[in-house]
Amino acid sequence: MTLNNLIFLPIKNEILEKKNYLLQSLGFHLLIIILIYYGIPNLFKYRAEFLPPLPVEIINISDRTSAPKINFKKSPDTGKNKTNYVNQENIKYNNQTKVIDDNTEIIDVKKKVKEIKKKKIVKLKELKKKPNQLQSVLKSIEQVKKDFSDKKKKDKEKTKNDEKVTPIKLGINLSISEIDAIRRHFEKCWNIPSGAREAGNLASEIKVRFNKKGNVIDARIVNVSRMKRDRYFRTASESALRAVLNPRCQNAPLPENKFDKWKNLTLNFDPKSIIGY
Amino acid sequence: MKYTKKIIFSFLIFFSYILNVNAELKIDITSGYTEPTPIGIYEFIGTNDEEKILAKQITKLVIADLNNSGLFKIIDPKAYIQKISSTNIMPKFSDWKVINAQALIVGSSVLNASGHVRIEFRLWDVFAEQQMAGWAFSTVRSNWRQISHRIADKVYERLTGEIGYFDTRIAYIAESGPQKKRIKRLAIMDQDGANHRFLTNGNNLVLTPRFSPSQQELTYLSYIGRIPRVYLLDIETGKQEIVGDFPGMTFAPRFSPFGDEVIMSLATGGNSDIYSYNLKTNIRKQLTSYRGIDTSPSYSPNGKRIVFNSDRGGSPQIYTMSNKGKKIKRISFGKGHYSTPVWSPRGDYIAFTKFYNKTFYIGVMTPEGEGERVIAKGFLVEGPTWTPNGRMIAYTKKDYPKQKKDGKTRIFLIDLTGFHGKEIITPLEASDPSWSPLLD
Repeated sequence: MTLNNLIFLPIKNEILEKKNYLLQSLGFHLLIIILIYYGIPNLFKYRAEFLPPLPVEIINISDRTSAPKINFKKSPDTGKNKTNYVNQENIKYNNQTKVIDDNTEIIDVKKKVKEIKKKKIVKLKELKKKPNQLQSVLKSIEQVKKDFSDKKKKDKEKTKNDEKVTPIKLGINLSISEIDAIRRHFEKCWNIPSGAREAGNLASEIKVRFNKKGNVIDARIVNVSRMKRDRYFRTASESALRAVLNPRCQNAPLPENKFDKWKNLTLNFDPKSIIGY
Repeated sequence: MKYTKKIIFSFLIFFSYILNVNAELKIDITSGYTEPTPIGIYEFIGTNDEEKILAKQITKLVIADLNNSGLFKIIDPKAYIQKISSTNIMPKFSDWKVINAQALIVGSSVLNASGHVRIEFRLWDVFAEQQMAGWAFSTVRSNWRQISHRIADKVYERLTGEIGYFDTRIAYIAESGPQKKRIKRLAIMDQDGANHRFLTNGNNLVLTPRFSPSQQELTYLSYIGRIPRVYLLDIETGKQEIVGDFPGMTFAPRFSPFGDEVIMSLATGGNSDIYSYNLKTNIRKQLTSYRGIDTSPSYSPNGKRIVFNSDRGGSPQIYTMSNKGKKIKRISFGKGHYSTPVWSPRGDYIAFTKFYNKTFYIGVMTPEGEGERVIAKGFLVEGPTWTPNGRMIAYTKKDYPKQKKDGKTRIFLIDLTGFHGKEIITPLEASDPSWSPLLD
């Protein structure tokens, strides 16, 4: 071991230890910076904004999901002369419609299908286990048929129940005409910021909470942080807020049965197209 | 290890919050109305007679300023429900909502024994039920007009986001007499029409007055001795002098943004080119050298570029170039003839006059020549000038002739969108307005 090593080895170790701490510290700070960068703007917005901008898309899905309703009614009749698999198909079909509407319900339906399948397999196995008892077999077949027919009835009831629930859930999204009515309702109260600088970049989102009568309970400008640094944006946002709070724009034409869908809305007031940018 | 788990768990919660893109519906509102914003201005409060008189004067002027901007509609005080006795109490917003007042101004005037006056006002957002601004000005009583303009500026600024321009002046050409013997005089007034005075006596034809950035001087074209030349006039002293010793006819002058140069056209032998003239060094520079007509130069706010009018492409069109006459680029490509381009003080637009299909238009386009929009049209509309905040344009408008009589020539003000317009009232017929820059 040279003199140099004797002197510098402890120092090197110390440096290496410090490096570890330094790396940990850097990593930790980096995480904090990432958190601040991604988190704080959203905290100010207090709700994220990454939604499909064209509401038409949402409505199309809703319409499409409502469409199978007619076919769905027909399926139990066609299934009268068929085996139990028809019911399974129905369940599967129902399942498909629900995929579009509500993912959480898929699991329940799948479980039901699996359970029915399992039960059938078990019963068939039981039958297979007793091949010599002809009479009992005949009886059991009759019983199985009865069971199947009972199950059919039960399944029909189930599917009927599903059918009753499904259309309501499928059609719960606001339709194009309903969205258009809301749009027109607030347009008549919005005095646009005329001649503002950079009017092409002054779209301001207002988060609105309604009561069941369509009156505004609470309205808030989403991008508060930009308001503080951009006076043109502040003016545009305030004009949008005034439109929402305007007494003439209370009692918004909103369908009561879809209250859950419109009780919280984000209205994006964009003067770009009006000013011709 | 347990800390690591906790940290990871916290991160998960935090990110789940961030990514909690709730399925809330977002609706785009892309249309609205463009009427003047209705606001209530309650008469300023004074406790004694003298204070009440002052309060009334201030209220009247604030109303006039905001009305003249074309962006606001002052609700008739007769419609007001609430009676306000102090600026320090919260307005009853429901009373103001009923009459559709979107904003409310409440103020007071207090006179001190020393002759000083304290003017206080508050601006309220009626629908949001919040105070938007509150200011108190103290000054000598004689400054009441300036204070009133300042109040209007603050209100304008808060409601539009743009700097107010009510404490400014307009220079223009006052016209009188029959068309064949038209008398044209240089005149100046406050933007609200007050303090009007003539700067020339009408013996010589004067045209195109332009303010210096300091507001103290005007440059204009005058036919003294029947030779059209560019002159410089000191507004306060009345001293008048020729700008430069040019060999031919000089016209279409305009100051540079820093006031040290005047840019203009010089016509010699049927050819006119653009020149700049340094007022300090008396050095002139030729910026264009085309054999046709190059005229109406106007600097960009930073002084780096110049927009001008030229027929080098076969018809009068708008071009831009550097302040040294390089990088000439045509920016107007629409149908018709373009003229009198003026760069906006905020730099985002160029206003121009256009003649197409027997009709005149006032329009705007970006300095790149994009987004051309017409904002006014008429039998004769020309000579746009920007308000100092670059949001509105004043221009000359001549009405259609009626019963063989010439139409009146007046000055109109219109906002950038063309939605809000208003006439600027002048004692005589008026043309060629020039708006003064803002006073610092």
